[in-house]
Amino acid sequence: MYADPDRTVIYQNNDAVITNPMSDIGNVFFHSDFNYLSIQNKVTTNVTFPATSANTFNSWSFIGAFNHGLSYKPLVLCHINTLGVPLNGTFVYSMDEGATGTQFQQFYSASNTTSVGIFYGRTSKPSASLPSFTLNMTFFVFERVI
Amino acid sequence: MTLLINPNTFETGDFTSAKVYPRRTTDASLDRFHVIQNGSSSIFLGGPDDNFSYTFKSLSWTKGIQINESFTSPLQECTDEWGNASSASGFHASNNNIEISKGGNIVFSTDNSMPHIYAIRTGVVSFAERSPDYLSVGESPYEEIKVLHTGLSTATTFILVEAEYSAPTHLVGYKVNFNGTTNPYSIQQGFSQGFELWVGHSLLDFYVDAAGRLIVKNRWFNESQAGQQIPTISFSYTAYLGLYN
Repeated sequence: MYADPDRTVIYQNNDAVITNPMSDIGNVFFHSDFNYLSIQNKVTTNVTFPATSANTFNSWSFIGAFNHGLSYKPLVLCHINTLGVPLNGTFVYSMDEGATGTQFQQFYSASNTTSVGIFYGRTSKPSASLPSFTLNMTFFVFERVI
Repeated sequence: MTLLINPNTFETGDFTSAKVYPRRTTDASLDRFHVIQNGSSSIFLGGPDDNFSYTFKSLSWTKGIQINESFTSPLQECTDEWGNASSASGFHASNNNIEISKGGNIVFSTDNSMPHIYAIRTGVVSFAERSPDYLSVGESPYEEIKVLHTGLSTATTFILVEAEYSAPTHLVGYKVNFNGTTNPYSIQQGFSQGFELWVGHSLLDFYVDAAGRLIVKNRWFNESQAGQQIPTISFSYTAYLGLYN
């Protein structure tokens, strides 16, 4: 471990990484010159998706889960607690429509100037109405790196 | 692990500005010694019995890890129970690892991977409007990422992407987040053209390829029933490129 007024480094084997951590990154455990992702807030909440009438689409729209209170649109990672899976990229949620088959909703995490939430939409038409559904999610809101 | 302690870097001053260093020793019985610099002499804290009695008033490092009032007084060294039943907070270094604990929970350990961002890239990507019944894959111009290191594979690279759209209109004003590994991950967009008619999907992939290039790829899937066009897609993005190490 090394510290001076300009840097703090935790490393092994190679002193050169003190001033040039990228020269041997495998031996660097921590270097204060790097950016590390820092979580600003962690929020667990229920997100309710609206019902869909028969033979209609759900247009892409935003469901605000909570106000983030930040001056920027934050980067957000999300975990779907109800399903036990991370929300990576687009998530396809299937709903059994009964005798007529299965219908799908697509959604992903997003933010705007005030809120963190879910963008969702449906690109096929159910032949029967589908009920509203609720998923419990945890959002990790990051500090702005730049 | 090699722990560096350099007596020549010790600073002078009183305890309120002192710095703490883990001390490397070849004597296993001393491997949890810490050193605090006070003036010209080194003062040893702790030892084989890990019996700290000194109360730190204020300790801080200029950058990086800070040890300050949040690590309760006295700064406690833990032994084998570190991070388990103990409610201690403190800083621990041995020949094997370095750990920082707060309230009995380890908040940093060299035993754990700690991803960091090594590059941030911003850019603007636009994919042109597509004709009806178009089915293809489009790629943005490659952007070379300067840093991929000898001995590292893309398997140790991760990428987080924020995209802010100027089109399509249903996404304008929102920052959409892509996250995943170096495998392509994507966001699917549906475009409504006219009443109750979805004519196409666009699947965007962000990833770092084996050559270390940031790739933004767009795949169009036209499900047109009426032969309408897929509109232009354009967005600005910020990609955070990181390494697990």
